[in-house]
Amino acid sequence: MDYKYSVKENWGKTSSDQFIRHEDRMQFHIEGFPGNVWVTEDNVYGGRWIARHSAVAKTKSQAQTIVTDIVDAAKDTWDNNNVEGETSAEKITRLGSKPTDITLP
Amino acid sequence: MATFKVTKGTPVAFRDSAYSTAYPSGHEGELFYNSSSGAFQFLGLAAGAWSSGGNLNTAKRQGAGFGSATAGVYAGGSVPSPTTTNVEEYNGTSWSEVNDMPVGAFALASATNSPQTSGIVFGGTNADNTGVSAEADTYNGTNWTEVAELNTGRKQLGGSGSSSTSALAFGGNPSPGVITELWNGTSWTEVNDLSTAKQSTSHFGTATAAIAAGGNPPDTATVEQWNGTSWTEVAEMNSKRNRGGGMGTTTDGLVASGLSPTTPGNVTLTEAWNGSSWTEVADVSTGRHETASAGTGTAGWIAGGYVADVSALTEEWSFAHALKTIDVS
Repeated sequence: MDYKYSVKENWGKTSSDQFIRHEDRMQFHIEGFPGNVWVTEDNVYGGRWIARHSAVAKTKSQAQTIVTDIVDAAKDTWDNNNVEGETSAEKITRLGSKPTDITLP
Repeated sequence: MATFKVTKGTPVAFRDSAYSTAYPSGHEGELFYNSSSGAFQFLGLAAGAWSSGGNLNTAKRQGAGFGSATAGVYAGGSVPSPTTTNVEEYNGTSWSEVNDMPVGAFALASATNSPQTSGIVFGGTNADNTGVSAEADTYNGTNWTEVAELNTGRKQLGGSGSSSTSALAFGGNPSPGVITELWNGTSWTEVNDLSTAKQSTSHFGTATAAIAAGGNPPDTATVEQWNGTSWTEVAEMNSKRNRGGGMGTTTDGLVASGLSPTTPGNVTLTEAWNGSSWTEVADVSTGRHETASAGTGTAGWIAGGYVADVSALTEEWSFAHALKTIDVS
């Protein structure tokens, strides 16, 4: 499957529209990632979704960089959030697991 | 000379492109002529899918959810730290902040299948996140009331129930992770343990019929079902996960997203439970873990969670019929 990459803030839902509609999900693959990066199936419906939202098109490399920068920052935040005497397991319980790398499809 | 036999066509209904695809519909299978597009169409089988819901006012993770697709509650959680007493109500379109809980907590559980106007949350971390809590608080749609505490305080526990007077608390952290307690509106009573210790399950159902799916440690795809008296292992999910969302009943339920030990990371996978087996259905759009969730197997929501930061996103699970165009070209 071929994909397109774009950036657009997810504004959720209003009384008259949804950022991602039910029929969108029936017509094409769409997946969200950190940094408001959206990966959409490269077909006519995915293209219409990008146009509908005036999403900013990115190359795969550009989109991956956005995601990686955010994940790396989250990893640093996690690494630097420590409590004296806390075990690794206790830290995971307190903060959740350390963020993991994300590779865009 | 050729001879043609003249026959009269059978007319079908004329309808325009605004034809409703709402679910359920008694019009499923109807054939009609779309006078706007000039094509024959029919209303096909319904399918479930996730679509965008209104964003939470405050991004958060590890809160507790209960209610329905159009009348839900997100209580407590982490923003990401410390714990919060923040509560929001969902009306099917947007979230509104309402009265705070008495005590902040995250990794707490709820009577998942309760209505917005009669719920209970219990357990979780203590307010300053230095230990676990046995706190239980009921909600009547307006105000919170502290009620009798769990016998065993714990976090990352499972919960089910249908009202502020009927709930089940199970599993969790710390060890032994098998304890099950039943709430009757007045007190918590220990009942039969889970077969296997677990925390961070996807869970849903009532105090007499509940599902505890997945969880850890170790990461598992195993599922246990509560029948009001005891837990029984039932068919496993197709994939291991923990900290996922869950909604529905023991005959029509859903597990959504969560953390996978094999990917590793957040998964978008959704699995539907029909009372005997799990089937992979449509994915969520943004994989995350530690969401709150509520609803049924055909209409519900997951909200909040964590990807590389706390999330304010809501996704709604709903069914709609597909409007199919007949193409003979």
